[in-house]
Amino acid sequence: MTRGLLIIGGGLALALSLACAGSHPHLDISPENYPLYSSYKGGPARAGTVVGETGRSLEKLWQIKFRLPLYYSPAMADNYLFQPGSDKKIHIIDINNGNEVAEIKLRRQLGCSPELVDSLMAICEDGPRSQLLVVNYLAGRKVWSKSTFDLCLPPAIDDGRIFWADGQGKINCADLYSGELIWSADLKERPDTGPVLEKDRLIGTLADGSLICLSRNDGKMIWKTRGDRRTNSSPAISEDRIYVCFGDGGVSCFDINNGNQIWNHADKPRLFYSPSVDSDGVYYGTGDGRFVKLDKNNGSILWEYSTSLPIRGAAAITDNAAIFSSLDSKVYMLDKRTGDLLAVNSTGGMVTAAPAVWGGRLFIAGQDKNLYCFLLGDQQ
Amino acid sequence: MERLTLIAVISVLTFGSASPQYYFGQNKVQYEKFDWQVMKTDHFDIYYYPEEEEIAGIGARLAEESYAYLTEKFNHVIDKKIPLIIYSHPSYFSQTNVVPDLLPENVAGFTEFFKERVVIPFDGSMRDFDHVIRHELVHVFMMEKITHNAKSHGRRNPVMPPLWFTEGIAEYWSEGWSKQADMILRDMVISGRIVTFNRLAGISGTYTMYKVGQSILRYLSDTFGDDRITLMFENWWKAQTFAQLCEITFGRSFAEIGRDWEYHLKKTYYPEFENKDLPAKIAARLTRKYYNIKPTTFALEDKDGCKDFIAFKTIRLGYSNIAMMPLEGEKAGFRQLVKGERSAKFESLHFVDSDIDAGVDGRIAFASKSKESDILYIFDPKGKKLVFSRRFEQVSAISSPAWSFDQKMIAFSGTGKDGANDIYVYHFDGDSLHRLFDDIYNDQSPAFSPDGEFIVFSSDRTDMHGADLYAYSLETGAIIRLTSGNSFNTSPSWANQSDSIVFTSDRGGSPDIYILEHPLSDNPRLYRLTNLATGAYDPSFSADDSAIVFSGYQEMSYHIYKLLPDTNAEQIAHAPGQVWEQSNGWQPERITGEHLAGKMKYKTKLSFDIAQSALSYDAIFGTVGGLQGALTDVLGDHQYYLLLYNTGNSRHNFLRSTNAAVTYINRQRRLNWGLGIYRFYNDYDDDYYGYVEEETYGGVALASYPFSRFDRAEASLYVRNYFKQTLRSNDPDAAVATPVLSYIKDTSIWEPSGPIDGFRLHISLASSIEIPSLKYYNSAVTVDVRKYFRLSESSAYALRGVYLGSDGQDPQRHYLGGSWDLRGYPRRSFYDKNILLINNELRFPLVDRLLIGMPIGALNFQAIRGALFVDAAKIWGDTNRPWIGSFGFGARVSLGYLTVLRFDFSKRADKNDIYGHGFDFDFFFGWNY
Repeated sequence: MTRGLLIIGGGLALALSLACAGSHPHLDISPENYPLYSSYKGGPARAGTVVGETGRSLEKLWQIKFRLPLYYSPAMADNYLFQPGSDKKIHIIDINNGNEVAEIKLRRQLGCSPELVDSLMAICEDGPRSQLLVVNYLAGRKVWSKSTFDLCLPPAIDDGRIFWADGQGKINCADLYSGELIWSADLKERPDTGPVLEKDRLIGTLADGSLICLSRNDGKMIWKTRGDRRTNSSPAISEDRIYVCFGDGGVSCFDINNGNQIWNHADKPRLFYSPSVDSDGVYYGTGDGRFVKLDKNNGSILWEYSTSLPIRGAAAITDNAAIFSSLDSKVYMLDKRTGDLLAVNSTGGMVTAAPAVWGGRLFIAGQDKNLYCFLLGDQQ
Repeated sequence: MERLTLIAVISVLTFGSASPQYYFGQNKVQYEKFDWQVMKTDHFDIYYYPEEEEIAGIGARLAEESYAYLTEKFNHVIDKKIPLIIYSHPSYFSQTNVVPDLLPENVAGFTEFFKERVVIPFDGSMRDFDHVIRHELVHVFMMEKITHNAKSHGRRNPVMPPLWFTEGIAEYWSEGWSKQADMILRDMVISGRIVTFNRLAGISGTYTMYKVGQSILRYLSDTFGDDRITLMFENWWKAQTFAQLCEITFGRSFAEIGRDWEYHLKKTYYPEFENKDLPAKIAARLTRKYYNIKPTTFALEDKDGCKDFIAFKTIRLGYSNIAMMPLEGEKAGFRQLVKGERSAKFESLHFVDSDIDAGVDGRIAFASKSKESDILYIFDPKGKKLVFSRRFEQVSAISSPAWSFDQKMIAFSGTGKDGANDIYVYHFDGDSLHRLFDDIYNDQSPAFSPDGEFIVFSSDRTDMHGADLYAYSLETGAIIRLTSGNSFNTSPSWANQSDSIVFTSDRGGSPDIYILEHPLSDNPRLYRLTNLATGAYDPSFSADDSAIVFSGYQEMSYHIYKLLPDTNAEQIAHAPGQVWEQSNGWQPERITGEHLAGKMKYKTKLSFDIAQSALSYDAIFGTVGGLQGALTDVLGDHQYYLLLYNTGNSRHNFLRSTNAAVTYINRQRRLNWGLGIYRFYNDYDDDYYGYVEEETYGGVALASYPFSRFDRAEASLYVRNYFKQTLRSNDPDAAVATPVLSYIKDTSIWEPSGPIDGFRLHISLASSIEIPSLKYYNSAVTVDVRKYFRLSESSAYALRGVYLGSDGQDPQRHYLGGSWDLRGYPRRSFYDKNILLINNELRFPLVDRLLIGMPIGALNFQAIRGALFVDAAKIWGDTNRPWIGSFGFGARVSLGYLTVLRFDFSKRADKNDIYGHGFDFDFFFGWNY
């Protein structure tokens, strides 16, 4: 039984694809506070860590096939997955059996994973006339939208506020519920990545290679580094340190207080995805198929694991494991302390979306058009 | 009545011909029999034949390495096996049936996009092999990525990249940057000929375009990061135009990027010019125009005494030739010696890849492709004739023959079916050929020492990514490495009267001329003679060693220069030569068991090659909608053509009006043959017969045998039942057999608006016999002869004569009049049993490029040509008309793919009068005659 919500032209219309009686989809979601509804990367700091043990095996529970390839990870709320498709829809999937229970149709292509807080979902529509949309997915109603001026980067949400970058070189902050603009910082340069939040600060990167730190309260610049390295992915923040994967292959650590570089690790060029960070390491995948763990304190290599093809998508780090996927159509689970392989399983095609972990399960959105659910079994 | 021509044309055009080109056209000849095998690897099906198994194994490994590399570059995995077809030599590659087109010699490989087949020849150089495999795979990945990206986002018609980008990224992601590319860009900047972004279309398809594209991609990568180019492909679905895609990805407008790239080039190359020269500033330029390379000197005695000459290769008016001129230059005299590319004897002179060499007595040794393999030729410029030719069974390709000083031997670089490129020595005494090496290394450009004890040659045997000079001792067999370093040292030539070798080396950044004195002594001395901003190639001493001639690159062209060696030339530190051992050589790695799934014999497996719902225009049927399809195997040797369409105009005659045909063509061997069945029905109004209803069904057998690239014989036999109903009497309803014999010759070369040089001939005889009575029914003759007299680079006088005749109890009526044949008269104004048509046309350039601005984009017309013409025709048989004719003028606008839009303004005339007021106007779309 599929029900849908349809948003057309900025206004909200109700589900077109009602397969049974009832004018309103019913989702059995009990809104709770962050981090239950945090984004796929693990909250506004986008560190990629997930609390809890994940076991030592990957057993495929179910998979659901979509019409078009999947590029972005699902967001999770209670027993539901919110999977962005290339068909301009958010598919709402029952986490237990993989059944699609509803869909939200948008007007344009989606450019990131959705962010969920309470009953609200924020997402960016990509392409010309891109915009940021906030939707009440329970009520089936668009709450508000803002143009992002041909730039589509994932927004960050925390404490009732939403922060996003736009193509006019600005980072904006608005009330999540009303869309009322609280501040807008004119950076005079196009942002490269979506904003990341940590305590009272907002971290971003610009097309001129600089790293910026703004006050999340009023958008005032706290510091700005002058660099010539660009990044393709949001920084990760952990314990007052910022970790960035750069396009030139460098992985760097900066002090969040002043922007000073603490260490830099040079790797092969062309890093495309964010690092993941936990209490003792920085994790990232490379184009030549290596998954690397660096010492969080000095950037030295602790271990690395090789696959046959490029590793794409940020990793999910749990209490005991590092989980990542690769263009070789496989999902790997490594012992995060030693780098030893714990488990591996296959998908039907290349994967570029980050793995999402929730409730002892792993969700992989593949470019083979399938969403996979694996049971993270054999918990110790 | 039988309409032989019509049936033949319909049958052959719709089924496909047994020959790759019907009516005219040059031939792709399958000289060799290949026993095809398949090697299956992780991501490729490698097609090869047993003789080249080693090369195929190496190619498989290189392909897998490229696959991993490009997966990362494109952020994309291709989840189906990519067919990679490998030939061990370019001459075999030119026989491929994967595409029907004749492949020019400078095509180093190609990707066929419908089935994504990659076809690559091994040219002897492992470095080139690696480069070309990766280059072609960039094309495969790019098309896959763009298609996947567009489909994933619901875009049906993604933006197609411009050719400069397609080839530029293939070059940049396969070889990065190169000294060759540097030379071309440097010359472009210094000569003030930078191709700006808005003029890129003007160099489309040229080698310069490849290098300019490579330069732009390099600039984008260096400026914005190589990762941004990958992101460009991720953004592909978002853009409506390529310029918009650039802006989305790089945050700069296309025009801004163009300006910045130009500025970057100037900033890079202008400072280099301070210490460098151009060829024309340090040497005397001896040739005036066109392309001129590969000079070799000799002395000849004439009535005025002994005189020094230069023989060289030149491309003039489209053909490559060997010519000679005095050492003073072309102004003092020019003589064409060998005309290439116009006959089976000199099919290709291997313009770029093979040197020529004049012996002490002036006889010139050169190699040319002639039918199935290369032939070693010797031309005597004094007697002005070819004095020697020799084909070697074990060598299919010959390159750079070189005389010994006693003229008893000729050394050359030869290639067998295994693809290995080694040095051979031919001894005139005993007519014997000796292979000096048998290895995978690329050995090129041999040259004898004056004492005949050594052969110096260029080889990659130590450095796969470069080339060094080696000396081979004919007495001991020892190999001595004369040069070293990460560079290309090529084209060695020994001095006539001193112990010195002159050669080209790019060790200084660009190809320059160096002299190595006493190369085999303990104290060799190396001098750099030039320091060019562009490049110098193929140096050779004059007969008395007082001068060095070379081909130099400047202002996007190659010319012959004469350099007087500078006695103060810069000396370069140089170590004595060392004996080269086999252990010094690199060993090619083949694909290993881990990535090799198996090998098997090739089996024919058909898949759709072309499948489309097509509209076609037929002179009789008019516009018909139809389903055309082709099923072919991977190698293109077996081809099935399917045709299904309907000419009905109501429900009632739908079934009856269904036309269908199936034909099989076999192109595996030199004799191409085919079989087909068909059923055609149509009813229409005809000028001669009035209302016509006709139905034909039967079978056809076709065969085509090429004698060479330029001529062939064709035969076909139609056996069919023929029913025809007209308003006239004697309508046939019988089974007939029609054999057709044809001879076709075509040496023409084309410019965008039509043929401009050469000769074309088509003779066809057909006769119909009733079955089973074997009673003669009718016959037809076609003679079509066309000759093009080249007047200048873009102008020619074209002459066409056509005779169409028919005979028998129901002879065919031929039609005349209209823009295609007799201009100035309405289409099909005349019909009769015999027609003689003569067209005379003077073709000349009007506008080379016309850019018309439009609200969206611009219309770009290339090569608009003017014409003055005179037509004459004689028609007889049923009637006996006097000669009629017309004259006029017109224009031809090239529409690409050699098609033109032809506008003609004409006046009718006969031998007494000129008729009509003003001019009649005709237009024509298609191939110009």
